[in-house]
Amino acid sequence: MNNIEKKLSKLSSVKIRNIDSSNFIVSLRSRQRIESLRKKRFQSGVRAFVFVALISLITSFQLDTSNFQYDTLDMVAYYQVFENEGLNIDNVFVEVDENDFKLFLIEETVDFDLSELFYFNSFLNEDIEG
Amino acid sequence: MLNDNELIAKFQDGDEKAFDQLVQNNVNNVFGFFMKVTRNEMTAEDLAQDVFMKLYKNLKNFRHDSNFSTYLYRINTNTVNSWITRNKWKNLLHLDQAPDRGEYDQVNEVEWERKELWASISKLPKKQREVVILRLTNELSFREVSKITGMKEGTAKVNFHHALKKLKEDLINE
Repeated sequence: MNNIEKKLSKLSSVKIRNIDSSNFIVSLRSRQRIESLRKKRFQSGVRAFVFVALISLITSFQLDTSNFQYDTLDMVAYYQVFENEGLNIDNVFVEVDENDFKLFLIEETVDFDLSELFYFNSFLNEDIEG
Repeated sequence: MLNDNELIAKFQDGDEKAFDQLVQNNVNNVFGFFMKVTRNEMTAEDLAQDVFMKLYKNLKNFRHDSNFSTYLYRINTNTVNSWITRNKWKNLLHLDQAPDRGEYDQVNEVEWERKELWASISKLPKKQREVVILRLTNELSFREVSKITGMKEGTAKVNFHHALKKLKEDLINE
């Protein structure tokens, strides 16, 4: 050891008391517990984030597919049907016989009241006799 | 009483109490090492806890290729290096805030020199700093220093020589 080394060694010397090892171990263990809790919290946070991201991704894919199906069916909105000239409801009813239409309505109707049944009966008898 | 290697083997087999015993055997050496560098009991205790936390995480993979004391010194050196890097600016600022040298009496003169010394050590390149810390704080031989740092004995000597030269210049200039 030369002079400067001795001087530096002297400067770096310090009085050191002995540390209480049992207290040190207790605080070390509690620090370990805190760190492991922090680690677990971080891991569950990451897991939750991945779960939410996955669900969002799946949902967005599903929305995309359903739009595609509607487009291919060439569906139109309800109000657009009446704007369409090809589907004029008056033209449809002009070609239908009035009696046929009445019969159709009677057959398709589930609820009859008594007066309607009488009318229905007289209408059929008329038709048979006629 | 079991020695360190036997305690490590027991810990590797899952005996947690063996680790506590290992801490008990080595805590004063580790604390002393950091006290010499930091000169602050709280900081030294915090750093010692950092060392044992690292040890707890890595001891399961310890292969007994090197001596346990060498392994522990290596962790100490790495921890102190990170601490110095982390506190480099803080330490320098702290030094700037110190009153003029002329205001100090004989006792504080030594304390001032100590602060200057550690400020200069923190400015050294990493390898030189490691060798200086191990030589000054633990008075280890170059052979032991080379085992801990992983550099050749000759390289350790050269690094130490360069470090001393820089420290001497720094302290004279101050």
